[in-house]
Amino acid sequence: MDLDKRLRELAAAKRAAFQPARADMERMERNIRERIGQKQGRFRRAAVPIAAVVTACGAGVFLLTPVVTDWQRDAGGGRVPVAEPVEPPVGEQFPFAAEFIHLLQAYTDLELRQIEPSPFADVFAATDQAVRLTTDQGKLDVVFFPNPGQAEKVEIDEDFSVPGRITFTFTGAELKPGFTPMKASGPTYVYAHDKLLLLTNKSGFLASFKNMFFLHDVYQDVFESFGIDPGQYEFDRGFKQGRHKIDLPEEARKGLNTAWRDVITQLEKGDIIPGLFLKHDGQEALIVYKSSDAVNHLYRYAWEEERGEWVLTAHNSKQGKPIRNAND
Amino acid sequence: MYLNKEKGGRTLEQNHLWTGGAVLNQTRDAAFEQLMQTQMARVYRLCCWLVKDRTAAEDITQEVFLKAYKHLSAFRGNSRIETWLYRIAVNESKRYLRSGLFRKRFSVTQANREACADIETEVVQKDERAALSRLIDRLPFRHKQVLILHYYEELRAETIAEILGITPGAVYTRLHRAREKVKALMRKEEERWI
Repeated sequence: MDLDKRLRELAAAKRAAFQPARADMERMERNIRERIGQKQGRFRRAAVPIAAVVTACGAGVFLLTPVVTDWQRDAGGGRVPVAEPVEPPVGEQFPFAAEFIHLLQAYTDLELRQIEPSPFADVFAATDQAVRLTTDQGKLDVVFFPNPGQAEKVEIDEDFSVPGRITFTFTGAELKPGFTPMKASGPTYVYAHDKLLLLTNKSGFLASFKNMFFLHDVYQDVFESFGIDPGQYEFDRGFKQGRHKIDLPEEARKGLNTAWRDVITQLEKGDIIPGLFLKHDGQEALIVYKSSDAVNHLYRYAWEEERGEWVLTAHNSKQGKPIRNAND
Repeated sequence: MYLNKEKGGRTLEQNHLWTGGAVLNQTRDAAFEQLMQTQMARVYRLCCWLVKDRTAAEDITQEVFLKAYKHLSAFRGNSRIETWLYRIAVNESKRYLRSGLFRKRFSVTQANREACADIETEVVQKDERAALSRLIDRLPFRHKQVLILHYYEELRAETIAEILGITPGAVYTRLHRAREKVKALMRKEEERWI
């Protein structure tokens, strides 16, 4: 047997045999993040860190959850394997919440474990549609108003006059008859977006929600400016293993990673992070983003089965709307 | 806080969007995170093969990605990003092997040098393959690296040329010389190859 063949056989054996310990890999990642001065989980991609708080109703107990990040970490800093989340029957019980939950699952790392009626369903006269979402990172209350603008008028009015017994009520909206101030164990922050009112006790968490909606609004504006129906595409956080909505062959997934990186390296300071969208049949991909001057950019790729690669079929730019980030 | 930066005649402002979760600082973070997810294992593997010391390979891998993070925004896609990472990895490995750190670590313990072998399963520890692997490890770095990149990493000469900063022709020459070196070492150990 000649040397070349021997070398190839040795190489194949070495490649197959190389199995680094997961703990070693995670340790390296952790060390790298620490050395570049980033706290655990500050990496934000399309994902937005969400922390939530359960607000009490009647029972008067607040459960404060820790500030959550993109990555679930244990005390030692290693990744914690999470249980397979149970798909809650959103459509059956809370159809009004389906779109919001889809957004949450597409744009964040949260794993939704339970959906139940929220105590805030009994607060506002305009609506009784409110849900409490239990995720792997905490709980979140969302109130769904029927008309745009209603949620934005709501302001929380907290009473700190009695030590150890903070209560809060709401102004800017008619409340249901018989509503009494709710007991809280800390400050409560509210954020309104379109018809939604979100409640939390962490101001940083509030900023995360604003970012989540901001990204979604940016991408929607890009789609609209190019006349593309967003309903035909699924937002794909392709590099997040195990979170693909659409299964693709490995080579197709690798090709998308490359395409996404190629776009990212062209971005300039102030541009908005690109979003990857896949057509439901997996044959077309879009990478879209908005640059700092509100110009929308679209890269369209078609999957060429015979060549086994994505082919760029369109690259367009068009002036879009400036989208304001509510964190301003 | 607003930051103005002139670039190519166009004024860029770090505006309020900077504080959001979606602007370029997070873009770089997002790209870097993806880079780590998809490339770290391969880079670590390459470093293990080059330096044969797991602890050192871990240190080098971390240095590779730290450098990548530092220069990611300047990477303009003239080559594939994997090629760029490999270039850093090869250079860092070479720097490590030439430094006193290698000799200190080697003199203190052989455990880590064998740790990379521990990562590999017993599949590779068959006698003939093990002997060939040891011979490759004995080669000068300039020959070992081309063999590893070509055979272990299955890279084409053009890609290796990009990694090493030499011409494809030079890669073929080094591969030929590396194979000749291996044969010479084999003859010394009284191995017979056809």
